[in-house]
Parts: sequence; C-alpha cells; structure tokens
Amino acid sequence: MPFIREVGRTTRVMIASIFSFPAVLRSRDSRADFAVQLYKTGIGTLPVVTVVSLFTGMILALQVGLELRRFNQEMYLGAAVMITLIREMAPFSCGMCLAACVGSAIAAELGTMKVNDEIDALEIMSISPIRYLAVPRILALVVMSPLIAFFCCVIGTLGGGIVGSTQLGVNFEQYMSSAMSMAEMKDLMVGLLKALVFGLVIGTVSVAQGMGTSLGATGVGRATQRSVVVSFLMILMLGYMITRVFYR
Amino acid sequence: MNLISFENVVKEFDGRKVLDGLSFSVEKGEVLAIVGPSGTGKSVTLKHIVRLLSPDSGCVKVDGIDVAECSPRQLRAIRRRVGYLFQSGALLAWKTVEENVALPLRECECLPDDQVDRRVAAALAAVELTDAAEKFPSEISGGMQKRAGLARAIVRESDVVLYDEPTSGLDPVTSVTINRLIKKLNKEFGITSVVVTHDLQGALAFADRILLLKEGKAVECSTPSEFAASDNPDVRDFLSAMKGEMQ
Repeated sequence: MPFIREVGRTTRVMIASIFSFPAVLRSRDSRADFAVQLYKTGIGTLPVVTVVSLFTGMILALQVGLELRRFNQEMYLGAAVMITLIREMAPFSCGMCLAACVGSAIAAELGTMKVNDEIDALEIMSISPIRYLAVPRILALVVMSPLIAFFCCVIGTLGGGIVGSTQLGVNFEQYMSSAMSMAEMKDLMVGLLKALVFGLVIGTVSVAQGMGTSLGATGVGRATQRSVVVSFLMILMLGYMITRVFYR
Repeated sequence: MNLISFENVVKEFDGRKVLDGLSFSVEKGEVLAIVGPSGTGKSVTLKHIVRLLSPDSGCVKVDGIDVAECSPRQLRAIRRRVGYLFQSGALLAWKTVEENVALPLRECECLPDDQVDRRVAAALAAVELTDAAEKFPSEISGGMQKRAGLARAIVRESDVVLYDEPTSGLDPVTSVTINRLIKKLNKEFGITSVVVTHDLQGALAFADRILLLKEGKAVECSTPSEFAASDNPDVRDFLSAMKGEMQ
C-alpha cells in the first residue's frame, strides 16, 4: 500500500504542476525563481554533463570501433556513435546527471523546508507550494533537459571522433560525415522527447519525495536517496517504453 | 463571542490518540495560552485551526465555519484571517527578512509596491525589527527570526495569530520580549491569540485564560489567577513540576 500511496502522491504532484505551469509567468517571484532554477539546472550541471558525455562518446567509440575494425568497417564508426548517442545514451546520461545533481538537490531542499515548517507556512499564507516551489523547479528541468541532452550528443560525438582519429585511425572528417549522414531527424526528435520526459519525471519525483519528507534530518536523507533511486529506475523503464513505441 | 471552538475533537496518529475529545473555545480578542506536558497535542491542536490537520471526529469551527468541511474558498478566507508563528519562524532562507514579510502580500494580495512596502515597514516596526529588514534569516538570532515570523503573521492584518512555542529555545530576556509583543499586539490591534507554550510564567503574565491539556483532553481552562489557585490535581501536579523545573 505505501507504494501505491507514493505513486498516487507523485501523480498528483505531476498533474497539479502541469496545470500550474502558466502561473509561474504571472508571479514576479516565481519568474525570478524559474530563472534561478534554469541557471542551476543548465549552467550548474554543465561541468559534470560535459565530462560524462565526453567519456560516454569516447567509450562508445572505442568499444564499437574495435569491433568494426575486425570487419574493416571503421568508416561507420561515426554513424554508430551518433545513432547510439542521439537515440539512447545522450538522453540517458543527461537524465542520470540531472537526477544525481539537480533532483537530489531539489529533494533535499524541499525536504529541509518541509521539516522546518516552511512548506506549511506557505500553505497557511494560501500560497500553493506546488505553484511557488515545485513548478519553477520542474519546469526548469523540462526546459533544460532536452537542451542538455543535445549538448551531451554534441560532446559525446566529438569525444568519439577524438578516439576514432587518435586510436582507431579513422579520419575525423570521415567520422563526422558518417555521423551526419546516418542520423535522422526522427532520431533527434525521439531523443529530445525522451530527455523532456526524463526532465518531467525527475522533477516530479524529486518534488514529491521532498514535500513528503518527515522524521527530520533522517527523513531528508531518505527522501534524497529515494528521489535519485526512483528517478534512475524511471529513466530506465521509460527509456525502454519510448524506444518500444517509436522503433518497432 | 466564540471565534474559535473545538467540539469533542479526536485525532489519532498510528493508533495513538493525541487529541481525545478535546473541547474548548476562544473568544474574540482574548489571549488563550495552551500549556501541558510534551506530547499532549498542543501543536496538533493549533494545526487543526488552519486545517494543516483534520480531526478524525468532532469539529473545529472558526467564526462558525467548520474548518475541516469548508470549501477551498472558505478555507482561504479563514487562512487569510489567521497568522501562524511556527516554532522555527519558518522563514524562507533565500529571502531577506523584508522579503519574507512581504511574501503573503506580494503573492496573494496583488497590492501596489508602495502599499506593500508601507505595510511591511509597519509590521516590522510593530515587532521592533526595522533594523534587520535587509538581513537574511541566517544572519539574525533565533529571537529575531521569531519576531520576523510574527511580522509575517500579522502583515496581512490578521485578526487571529496562532503561536507555536514562541519562546522555546530563547534566553529569558528574549522570551520576555516575545511575551510582551504578544500582549502588545493583542492590546493595540485587538488580535485574538492562541499561544502554545511551555513558558508558564510568561503565560500567567500575558494570557487572559490558560488551558491545560493532559493526554489530549482539556483538564482546566481558567484565568491565570484561578489557574494558579486551582485545586485540580492535574493543575497542581503541572504547577509543581514547572516550579521544580525552574528551581
């Protein structure tokens, strides 16, 4: 039963947040908070995202390149890396970075506010905590997640190109030409859709966990941990489902 | 005239009755202090008045409206009239004292900036905190945080303020300042106050009536002088325990 209660609470947070999205633009405070959250989500995670996506592309290129070389097909390295990144790895690694860096911070921040009665204080002032606290954070994740996924894709592809040209003997121009020729607009759109869904899910799960915190500091720790674990699981499951829908 | 009334309120948490048929009322313009040992449901009682909690049975009325059953519009109207001072002050850490106090006005009242500024300045002056307006909560003391929380509670010109342990964790001098403020706000603005406190000396000084809770029930509700002279064994036990603690 606690599981069903959690799912119900998270779904309620998601629905209430989606309906409150326009309200963010009406309040000066919410607009300012939204801008801050955009910065934290986008610029704040850039160093981690850059390193993760660079090495993801490099590992992909190395593993795939070694196999392709066995069949003298290194010229397709760019296409293999690009397609893997754009369809799966870019939204996936972007989602993991956001869940670990941003989602955990949201759960901890809101959890601390909950145990300090700040969220109850907002309710008593008739300020909806969903509108005031949740929506700017969730919306920032929804907006930034596809952009970060695209950035992951670019950096990962460059990382793959570096490995290809330095270790596998694939000319960088040939690598890029192969990458660009095989990638389709559909792949990009599905990848960005995945990232957008991951952003929405990470935001909602983190807010729901944070706002549902109880039992003081222990509860904040537990909420933070659960927000990351649940987000990771949701990213994996939703990633598969979206792939299944678009690539039959 | 009763502004707030509890009628046979029962509230359980995990099978444990925290409020067990609690009944009492608060008259308009009075200061009611709720005292009692820890875990007897004092804070839980306060939370029922603004529907942060709802009773399992019985009813809580504010101005004749059943808080647990009222519509969202009625609840907003009730909350609009009620200020709430939390134990911690519950200030938003990333906003200055001034911004915290202005928050309910900016978010809910849609007032022009000059009017917001005027009312915030008046609220801060009422709690004697004008000098700390530009500071963040982390830069001020616990007593100042509570005063800032109190300014936020009264800035909407609320006619009821609920105080949850306003003097807990404060030194005796700051506690006296807070207790003086509670009385001052009641006298100057006619604010009805319900104060949950462990500070019996303070309660005897500022309250019009004192309500003693024991095991979720009201065992005594009387004026400070009657309370101090009461021969109710629960009151005697509580008074002697408090006296022992002070010594």
